[in-house]
Amino acid sequence: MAELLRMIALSPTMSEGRISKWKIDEGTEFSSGDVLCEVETDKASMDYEAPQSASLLKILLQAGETANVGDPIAVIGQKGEDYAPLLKGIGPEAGGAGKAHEPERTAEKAKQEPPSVVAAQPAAARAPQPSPQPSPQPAAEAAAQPSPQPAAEQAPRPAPQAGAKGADSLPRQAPQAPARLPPSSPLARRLALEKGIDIRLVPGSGPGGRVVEHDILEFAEGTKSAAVFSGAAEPAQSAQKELRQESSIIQPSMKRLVIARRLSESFFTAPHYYLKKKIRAEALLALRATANAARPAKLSFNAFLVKIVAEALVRHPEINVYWRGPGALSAPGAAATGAAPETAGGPTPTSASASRPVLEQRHSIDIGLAVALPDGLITPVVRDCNLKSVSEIDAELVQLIEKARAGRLAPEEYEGAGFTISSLGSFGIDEFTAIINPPGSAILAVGTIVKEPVVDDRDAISVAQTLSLTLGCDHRSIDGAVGAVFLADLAGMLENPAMALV
Amino acid sequence: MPELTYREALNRAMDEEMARDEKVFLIGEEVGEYDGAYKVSRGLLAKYGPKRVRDTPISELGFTGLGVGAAIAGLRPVVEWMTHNFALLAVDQVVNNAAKLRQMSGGQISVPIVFRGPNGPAEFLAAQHSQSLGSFWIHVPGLKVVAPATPSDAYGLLKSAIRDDNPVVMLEAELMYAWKGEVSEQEFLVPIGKARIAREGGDVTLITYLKPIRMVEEAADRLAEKGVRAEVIDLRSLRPLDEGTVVNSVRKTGRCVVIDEAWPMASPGVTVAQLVNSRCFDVLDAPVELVSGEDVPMPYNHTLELAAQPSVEKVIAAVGRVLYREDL
Repeated sequence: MAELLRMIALSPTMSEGRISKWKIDEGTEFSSGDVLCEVETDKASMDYEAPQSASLLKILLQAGETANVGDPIAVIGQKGEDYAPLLKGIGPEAGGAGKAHEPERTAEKAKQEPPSVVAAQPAAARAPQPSPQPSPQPAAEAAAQPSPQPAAEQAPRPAPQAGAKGADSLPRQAPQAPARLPPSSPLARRLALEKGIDIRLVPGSGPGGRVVEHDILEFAEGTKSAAVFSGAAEPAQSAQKELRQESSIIQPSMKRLVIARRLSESFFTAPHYYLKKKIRAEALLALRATANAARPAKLSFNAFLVKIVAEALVRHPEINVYWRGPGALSAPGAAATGAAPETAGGPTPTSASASRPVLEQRHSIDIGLAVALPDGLITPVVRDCNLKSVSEIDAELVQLIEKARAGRLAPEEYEGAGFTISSLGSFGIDEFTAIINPPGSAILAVGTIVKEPVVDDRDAISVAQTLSLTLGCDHRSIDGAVGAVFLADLAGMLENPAMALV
Repeated sequence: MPELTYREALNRAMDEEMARDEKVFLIGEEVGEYDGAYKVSRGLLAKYGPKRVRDTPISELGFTGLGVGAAIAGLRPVVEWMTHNFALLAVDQVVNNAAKLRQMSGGQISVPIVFRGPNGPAEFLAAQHSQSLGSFWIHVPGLKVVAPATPSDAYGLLKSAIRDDNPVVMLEAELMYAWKGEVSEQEFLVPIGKARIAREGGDVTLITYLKPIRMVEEAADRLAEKGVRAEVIDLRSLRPLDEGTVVNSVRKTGRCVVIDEAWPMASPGVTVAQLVNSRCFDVLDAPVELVSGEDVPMPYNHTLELAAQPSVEKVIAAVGRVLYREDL
C-alpha cells in the first residue's frame, strides 16, 4: 500500500532537514537500507536509508528544499499504485504537478520574500469580528481554502533564523521522533494560520515556551516591516537597474544557523574570561621531529597538543566539567543520569526545568578540535585521549577531519567535548580568544609559532620559538585561579614534554 | 429613576405580584410578624393578611414541602429560606419533588414555585453559615436558578420567577440587601436565562454572578488604569445559562477569568469555564482562569475569612495570567 515517506530526525537535535540530493529517481525500486536521498541536517549531510523495500512513486520535496521532521517528503509503495488520496490534505503544492517545487521557482520565491511570511495585512490585533458567531468558521475556512499553512510548511523556509529560537522550545527529540509543534494557544494557532505564519518559527513567550497571541503579532510586525522595506525598495531598484547592487541576501546554511545560535548562547550566558601564556616551543618541536624522523606519515603538531592537554586534564579534572542548569546548553537530565557523551552534548538547549544548576564532572577525557570548513566550523571530538598514544590520536584526527570535510561526521563524533582546542596557527595568527564550545567549560586558543627575542634565566637575550596560548574559561564553573593553575601546568608540560611523563 | 435597595426591590416585586395574582403567597420563618429576617417582606402581612403571608416553625423540610404541595394544587408560593444554608434540610423536597414532577407526570403536573433567600458568605458567620450553594441547585435538571446582582434585576427576576410555571431557586446575598440601585418605576420583567454585560471591554472577559460583581467591577476599574479593558458579564441566571452572551464576549476578547465565591469543585464557575473551553477553544490565548472561594470550610478568623474569598487582587492576578502580563 502506498504511504508517505516522512522526514526523520537524523541527528538527536535535528528539527528540519534539507534534501541535498535524491539518490534514486521516481519510479525506481529500492530495498530496505538503500540510500534514498542525502539530507543536510543541522550539522552534517546524512544518508536517508530506506526503511523498507518498495518503489519511489513520487518525490514531494525536491533537492534544495527543506522540510520539518515529520513532514512528508515522498510517496513510496508498489509501482502503479494510486496514491492520489494520500496527497489530499498535504496542500495544493504537494498534490499538484510539482510546479511549486521547481527549484528555480522556489529559489526565486525565496529571494523575493526574505522572511517566511507574506502577510501583507496590517498586524493589527485580532481582526474585529463583525459576526456574533464567527468562530466555528475558521476550521471550515481552513479546510476549504487553499490553506496557507501547508504551503508554509512545504515552502522553503528562507527565514530560519527565527526558527532557531522557535526550535529551542521544542522538547529534545529522540532520533526518528515525529516533529512536534511548540506549545501554543489556540488563538495563536488560528492567527498564525490566518497570517500564513509557520508557528514553529515563532519564539514563544508564555509558560513553557507557549506561543501566544502577542508573539504572533510581534512576529508578523517584524516580517511586515521587512516586507514594507523590500516593497519600497522595488521601484527604486527597477529605476536604477543599471546601478551596482549594494548587497544581496544570502540564505545561511543550517549549519551556519546552528553555529550562530550555539556560540551566541555560549557567549551571552557563560561569563568568559581569558588567561594568556606565552611558551617556548622548541622542546615540543624537537619531540615531534624526533618522533617523525622515522615515520613516513608525519604526526601532526595538533596530535601532540591534544595528548599533552589530555595529560593536563587528568591532573586537573576541575577543568573537565560541564555547567548544567538554567541557561546551560544541554539537558540537565543527562547530567543526572550520567548519559553517554553523544546524548549529553547536544547543541539544542532544552527547556532547563531544573531550577538548580549542577556541575557535571567528566570522567573521560574527550577533546574537541575546531576544524574550519568552507561552510562553517565543526569540532570533531577525540574520546579518551588519556588512554591513547599520540599516533592513535593523530590517526583518529586525520580520519575525523576527513569526514568533517566531507560533511559526514556523525553526531557522536562532534558532540560532547569536555574541552576544546582551537588553533589558528596555520593562518599565522599570533594569539586570539575563542568562544567556549558548550557544554564544556574551557577552550584553548593556540596561535602560531613565531621566532622572537626572549630574555632567558640568565638575563641573556636570545632568539626563541614561542607559542601563545589563551585559555578561555566559564567563570560559573572555573574560577580564575583554578584556570591559572591549569594553564601554568599545561604550559610547563608543553615547554618540557618530559614533564608529562612524571 | 428612583433608587431602591435590593430588599426594597424584592419587596416591591412580591407586593406587585401578590396584588396582581391572588394565588401568590409567601411562606417561611419570620416572614410575617417580624417582616422577614432581613425585612424583605416588610408590610406584606399587614397588607395581605396571614392567609397569604404564613409564618412557619423552624422546619425547612416541612414548609418547603408544604409550598411544593400548594404549587401542585395550583397556588404560586414564594418560599423564603432564611438562608440557603438552612435549605439543605429541604433539598429532598426541591430535588425529588419540585424538580421532577413535571417530567414524571408527563406534563400533567406543574410546580410553579419560587424558593428564595440569601446565599454565600456574609461576615463573621463561620463555616456553617457562609456557604455559596448555587451548585447544589444548578446541578438539577427541572430547576431554574437565578442570581440577581442589582436591585433592578432582583425586582425583574423575582417577578419572572413568580410567573414561571417551573420551580425557580433564587440566590440573594445578605450583604446585598442594603445595596442601592435605580429601578424603573414602570413595571418590567427581567427574562430568566439572559446575562447582563455590566461593562464592555475588549481585552479580557470577567464572568461572575451575585455579590462578587462589585468586587469584579472594582478590579475592572483598577485594570482600566493600567490600560486593560475588561468586559464584565453578570450572569444573572445560572440555569439556564446565557451561553450566547458568554461565548460572544470571549470570542471578542480571547481571554476569560471566571469569578465565583463558591468552592471550586463542581461549581457554577467551573461550569462556565468548561462552556468557554468547549465553545471558544479556537480563540483562547490562555487557559480559562477560575477565581473561586478557597476549597476549605469558611474560617471564622476574619483575616482568614477574607483570604478564603475571591478578592480584587486575586482577580487582577488571574487577569495577569491570561494576558501573560506580570506588571498588573
